[in-house]
Amino acid sequence: MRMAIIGAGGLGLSALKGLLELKVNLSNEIVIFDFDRVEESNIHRQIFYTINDLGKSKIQVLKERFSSVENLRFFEMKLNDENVENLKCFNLILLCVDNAETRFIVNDFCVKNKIPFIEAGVEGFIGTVFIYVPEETACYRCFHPVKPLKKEKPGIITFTNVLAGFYQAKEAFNFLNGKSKLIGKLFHFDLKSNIFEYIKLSKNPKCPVCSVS
Amino acid sequence: MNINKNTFLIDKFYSRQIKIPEIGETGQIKIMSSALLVNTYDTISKDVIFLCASIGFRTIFLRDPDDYRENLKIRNPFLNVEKIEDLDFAKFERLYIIGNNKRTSFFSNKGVFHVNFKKDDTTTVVSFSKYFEFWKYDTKNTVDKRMLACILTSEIVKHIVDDEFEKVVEIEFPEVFLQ
Repeated sequence: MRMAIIGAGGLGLSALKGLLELKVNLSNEIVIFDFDRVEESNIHRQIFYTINDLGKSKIQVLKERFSSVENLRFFEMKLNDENVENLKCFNLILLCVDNAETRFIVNDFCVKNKIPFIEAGVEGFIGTVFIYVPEETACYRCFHPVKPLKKEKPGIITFTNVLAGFYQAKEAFNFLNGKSKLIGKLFHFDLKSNIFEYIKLSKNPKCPVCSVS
Repeated sequence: MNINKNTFLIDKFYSRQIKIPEIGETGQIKIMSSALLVNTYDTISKDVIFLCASIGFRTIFLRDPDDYRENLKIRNPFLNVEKIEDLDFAKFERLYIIGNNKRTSFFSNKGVFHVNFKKDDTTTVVSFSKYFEFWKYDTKNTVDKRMLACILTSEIVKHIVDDEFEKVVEIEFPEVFLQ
């Protein structure tokens, strides 16, 4: 079983920490993809980077930090339409990015290649997590058919990120053990109003990706 | 408070955080001016400490009968926190207490935890009475505890940045944590 985490930011690192704590890695290989460098606005909230890592490649920092952990691999790569084929060998993907472009690329690839993925998104006090299971659930494009315009990076606070990332890890663990309760639903939470809810998701018959394939 | 140092931190470290309308620069300064006292160093409070430190608390006090210093040496995650000390109660502008409080847990109900804010002139006491009920459901899964710590921390932050925040809040305990 091989699992990929796309993005080594607030979401990705929380998901990784959750997976390690749930001991998912004992029998599974986990591969983390990122292309970014450690910035000042990262280090107070992204648990594995320190002030000494400023300007360094996130992947290089993580490689050094986790050199003694078995079954963890790291790749410095920005996913695009050409290199997304590298995800073909994975059984489950955790999508932990903050941009629609990568979400679209990974979603379209996973639908085409029948690979399940768990996506999370956060902004301010609000977060969502959903799982795509091939031929069973709606895909990301069912409810985001059109790519949104590029916008400024959203406001982020640590607890929203960590909650969503850990929930992704827990859902990955449940999915691998055949116990996922998220299938066919979107988990939505708003820590400002203390709302925690599951929203039922149906396939969009006009989805430009999964209805065609 | 050192204004220049705070401005630097807000501009550099908390630049994404102050974009959140509920926080903004004013809320961030309130957070950075607040002191946190954590009563009992355990799985959940450890995470609340980390989260509060990452959000901008500059002074964190720990109070625990057990020897937590070894744990601190290992973790050392408290970037930008000026003091982490073992102190008894004292007068603070704001004082937050998190921990095992049997009196409040007595009032908790299954599936619901209570966040209580009790305030006088100098002190705000925050107690979370769901701890014991929560552990009855899941004593092994640290991931669930970490997610609960996120909810508790958000309550503290909302309380600090919004002076009008209700003193007693009842939160429906999300089913997701009880799976």
